[in-house]
Amino acid sequence: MNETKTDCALKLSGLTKVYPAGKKNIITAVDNLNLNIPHGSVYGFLGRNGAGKTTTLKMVAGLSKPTDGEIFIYGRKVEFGKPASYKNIGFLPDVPEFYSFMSAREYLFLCGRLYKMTDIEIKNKIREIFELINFDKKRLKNKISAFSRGMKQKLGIAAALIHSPDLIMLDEPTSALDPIGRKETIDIINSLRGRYTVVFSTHILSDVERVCDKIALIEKGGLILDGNISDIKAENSGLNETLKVSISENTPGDCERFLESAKKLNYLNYIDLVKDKENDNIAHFSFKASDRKKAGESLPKIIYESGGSLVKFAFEEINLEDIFVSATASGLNNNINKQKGGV
Amino acid sequence: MNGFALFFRKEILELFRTVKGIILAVIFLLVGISSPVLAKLTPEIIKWAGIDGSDEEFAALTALIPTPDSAASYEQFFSNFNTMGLISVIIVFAGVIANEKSKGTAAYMLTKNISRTQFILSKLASAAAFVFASLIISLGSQMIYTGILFGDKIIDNKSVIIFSALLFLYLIFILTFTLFSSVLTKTATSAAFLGFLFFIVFNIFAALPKIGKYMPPLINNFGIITAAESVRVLLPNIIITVICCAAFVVLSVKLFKRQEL
Repeated sequence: MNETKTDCALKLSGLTKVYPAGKKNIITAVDNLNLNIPHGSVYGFLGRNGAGKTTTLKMVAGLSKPTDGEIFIYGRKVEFGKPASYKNIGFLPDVPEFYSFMSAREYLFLCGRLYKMTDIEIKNKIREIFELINFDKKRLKNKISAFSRGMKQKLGIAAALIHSPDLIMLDEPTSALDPIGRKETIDIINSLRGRYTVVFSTHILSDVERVCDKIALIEKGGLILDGNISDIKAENSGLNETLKVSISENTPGDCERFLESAKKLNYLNYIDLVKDKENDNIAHFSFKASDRKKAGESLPKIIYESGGSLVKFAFEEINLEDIFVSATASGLNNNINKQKGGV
Repeated sequence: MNGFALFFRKEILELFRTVKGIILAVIFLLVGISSPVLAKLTPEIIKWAGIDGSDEEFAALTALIPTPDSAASYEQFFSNFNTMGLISVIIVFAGVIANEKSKGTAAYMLTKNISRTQFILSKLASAAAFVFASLIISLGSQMIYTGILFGDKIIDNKSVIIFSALLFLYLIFILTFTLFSSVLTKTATSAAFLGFLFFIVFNIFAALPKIGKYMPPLINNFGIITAAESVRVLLPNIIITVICCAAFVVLSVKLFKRQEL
């Protein structure tokens, strides 16, 4: 397409979706969501089940009408039910359903012709996409009804790419796949990098860490985190970092004395204690540390004073799962309000 | 080709490749073939029932049965079509939109470059084309078999053509309220149920005094074939049927445009 290249591939401005629930109640599926997704990025759209990811993507794809707010794809405003306003996207729903009486070739030609592509253009594009996503060309003549879920996912991606849109949106593309299918899909998303702007929603954080440049985390329809993964990790590195401490008891009661002293430190939160399977004298402690520096300075001293010997002292690198759990916890709801003002 | 033409082609392909198209075509064909045969054989069957000739009363009764002719053949066709033919149209096309909504294929395709109006109209046009072709086959076989079995010239072809045109208009009317039912509901079963409800309600209206004589069901009229009824008399019904068809199509499009998928 490449019609209206701007730095912003997708802009959501105050996007809100409210559903009626009964006579008097309403459900706010998407709550004043503001988001700028830059051109060329692979963007992970994260959130728990029911957080509002699919509703948001459906509004972008023109399938659902926003209650409030605006959507812009490369500067062009999306209007509900008007295909011309969202023709620059390729959308793949979470469980794509096809016309099973058709062959893959017929289906892709139908999709291509809808965008007024010539048969030669469609043929060339199919060849190019099939190489990109490692799709066996011999399957083109097969009926879609004979395809596995993984094959259907690949066909869906091919159908999303057929008209060369600038923005590809994949709704939970890996959630229904087996590990091999998941890996293949993540590899495909990786291969799209640099050619398209890719937005994919998921709650599988390992997939996000493997492939995304940037993420947005939504909870209860509102944005609570947005930015580069490395920046988000850095910002959260001091917050509730997991500290693993292993102590060998020289005299009985060393561990209890250590734990008693450690619990008094306000920058440490005790998580659990596990006895070593092979050596009863060794105990493994886990803490959440809000101040890495202070913990590093004080704990060895406390261990020495308790009479035990330090076996292991390590901060575990914070991962997205920690951030996800921490950010979606109700205690951080103030973040929602902070971010609602605009991104 | 635009979205309408592409989806028209897709719909026709679907009707040819799936069981629903085959069912409709076979039912229409069966009605066309079986009606003249039934008209021919029914008096014979009744006579065979009293074959020993011992019952004088029965013999007197069979003597009253008129010799079947081509008018009886068309009457049989009319009777069979009004049951099997019309019901099969509602059943086959009830899922035309509802199935696409429940399976998710409509949501997926409508993210591509096709408008909702094109989507709906292509469904109606392809259904109408398929029904038209099936009706031609049905009436064609009816005419051929009637000619072979009876050979009389009681019914002229012009009457049959006018009757067929009105029957086709009535089938379009059925298609439009079936389409509307399919847009309104989420499953093919509920769409079929609602379609039957419309069918029954319109037939009840047709039986009412004063307004009944203007209702769409009366354009499906056997009197046209036997020249007992004039097309001019049915003109108000034709106009009302066309208006109803247009109203159902407009409502279907408007409603579908507002639906979130």
